[in-house]
Amino acid sequence: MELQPVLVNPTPVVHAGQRLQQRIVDWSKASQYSHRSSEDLDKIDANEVFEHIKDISDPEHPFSLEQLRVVNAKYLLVSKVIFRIQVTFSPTVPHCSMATLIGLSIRVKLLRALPRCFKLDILVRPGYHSSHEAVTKQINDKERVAAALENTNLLQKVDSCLDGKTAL
Amino acid sequence: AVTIELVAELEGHDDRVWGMQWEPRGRCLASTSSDKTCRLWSQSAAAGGNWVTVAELEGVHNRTVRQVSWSPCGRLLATASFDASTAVWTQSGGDWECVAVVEGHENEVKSCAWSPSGTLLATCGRDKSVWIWELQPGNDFECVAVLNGHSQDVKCVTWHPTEDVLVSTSYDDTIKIWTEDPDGDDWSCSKTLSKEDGGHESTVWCASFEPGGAHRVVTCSDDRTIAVWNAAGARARVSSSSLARFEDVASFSRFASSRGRSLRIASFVAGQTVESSALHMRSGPRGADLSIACKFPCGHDRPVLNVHWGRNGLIAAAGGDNSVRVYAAMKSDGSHGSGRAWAEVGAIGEHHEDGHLDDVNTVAWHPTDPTCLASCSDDGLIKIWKVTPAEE
Repeated sequence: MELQPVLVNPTPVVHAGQRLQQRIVDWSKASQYSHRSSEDLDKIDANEVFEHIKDISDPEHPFSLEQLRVVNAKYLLVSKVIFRIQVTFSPTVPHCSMATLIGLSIRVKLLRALPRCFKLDILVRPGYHSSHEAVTKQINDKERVAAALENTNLLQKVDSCLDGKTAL
Repeated sequence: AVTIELVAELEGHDDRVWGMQWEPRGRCLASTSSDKTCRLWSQSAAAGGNWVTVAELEGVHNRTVRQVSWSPCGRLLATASFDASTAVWTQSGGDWECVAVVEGHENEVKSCAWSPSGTLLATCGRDKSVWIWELQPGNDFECVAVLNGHSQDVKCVTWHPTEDVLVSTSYDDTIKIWTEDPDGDDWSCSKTLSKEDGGHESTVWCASFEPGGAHRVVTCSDDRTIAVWNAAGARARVSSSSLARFEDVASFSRFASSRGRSLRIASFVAGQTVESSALHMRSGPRGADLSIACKFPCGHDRPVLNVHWGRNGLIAAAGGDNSVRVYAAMKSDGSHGSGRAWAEVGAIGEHHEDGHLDDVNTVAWHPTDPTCLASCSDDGLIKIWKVTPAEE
């Protein structure tokens, strides 16, 4: 008998996703550091960043982060002056133990999708998690992130989420 | 002000370069990387003075090699890895080989450091502990202490340059000072420096002692600041005559510290012993009682990942904003000196054409050439810089 995992949020509210007609530059084909003066940089805005992360799957439900309103284009900041991208996400329940995995998935997706000249800050929206500061600190500690991504099991979970599948 | 010029770019690692340390006499530079290797670099006369990889230490660690530490004599090299082990390497018949794999931590080891006498090796990691190992004959390592006290992972360990005083910095935002108990059997935390002591408000990435006399320590943090600490209580504990004598001897000497409350100093000039003296420590080692001297912001709103206090008196900092920055102590009239305030006197910022293209992880002043500084980055490169006083 297969054990059913205990869900953190068994009944999430699901919203309709939007389809934006946004052209996405494929940065993966270009060399990763040569973009600070590139014209294509002008095309990177909050909408494009959102386009990259909206279809990431929630770790425990077959819905996207957009459908669960975990990510919202409203809470994205992009600066091409100082090369910073800030993503603020809202876990569906305040005790969500999946928040770290969600944050890690967003970071990995943007690391793979965007030129490396951008610095990423992934934040948990204050008030949306019982320990938003601790989770935010953890997913922005480059050493812990690097160590986590060398963990094969964890990386598989992240890849599942990025493939639009649940990680459990 | 200083000018900072790019001298060389060392290309060879296949992934981000995390750690770096110069061989104690500056004969080569060791670097560690996420590519699971440690590389040794030096200038080659055969290659026209260019920097080349003289050794690649590989095949032992199977995850990121995070930090590297040379023993004071330069004979042994320790590498700390995310694979939970610390490897010890030595040169044998021209080749470097691994002579010991020191295991004890539950998971990632994040830093390692040899004590000034070269007999103790400290390691720390994600399991929140600091371990002290004693080097035994036959390159065997015996654990002499497991230090628990930090409430989160320990990022860095570093020894006082002349005493068996260990400093650790942590994700729990604190700095801890560890000393051996008077009976010489146990180690314990003699001081914790936190936000309430004027310290840091986030992860403390690194600590570096002032070389030589070592009355001061510099630390850097995720809170975007650098802090300078004084060993304030120390001066009162040692009589002024012996202190003066100690400084005089220590600044030119090699030394060996014995266990217990006395410190034996032997100084050598051109290989000859000219003086040997024993100082009695009245109540604990001098380096163990730190208090905040000043704290100042560094860089452009990114973590300060590493600091190194050079023998030239300058502090170098490595930034999560891709920058390499140099700080000098300023007198109240604005000239360089040993005043309380520190000011940025030079920087290769994130938009500089010679600068790194990603986070700078470590900076290291050359041990004998006061104008030489090395930096390494997530961009996979090591850069060698020439730092000279700017013409006014």
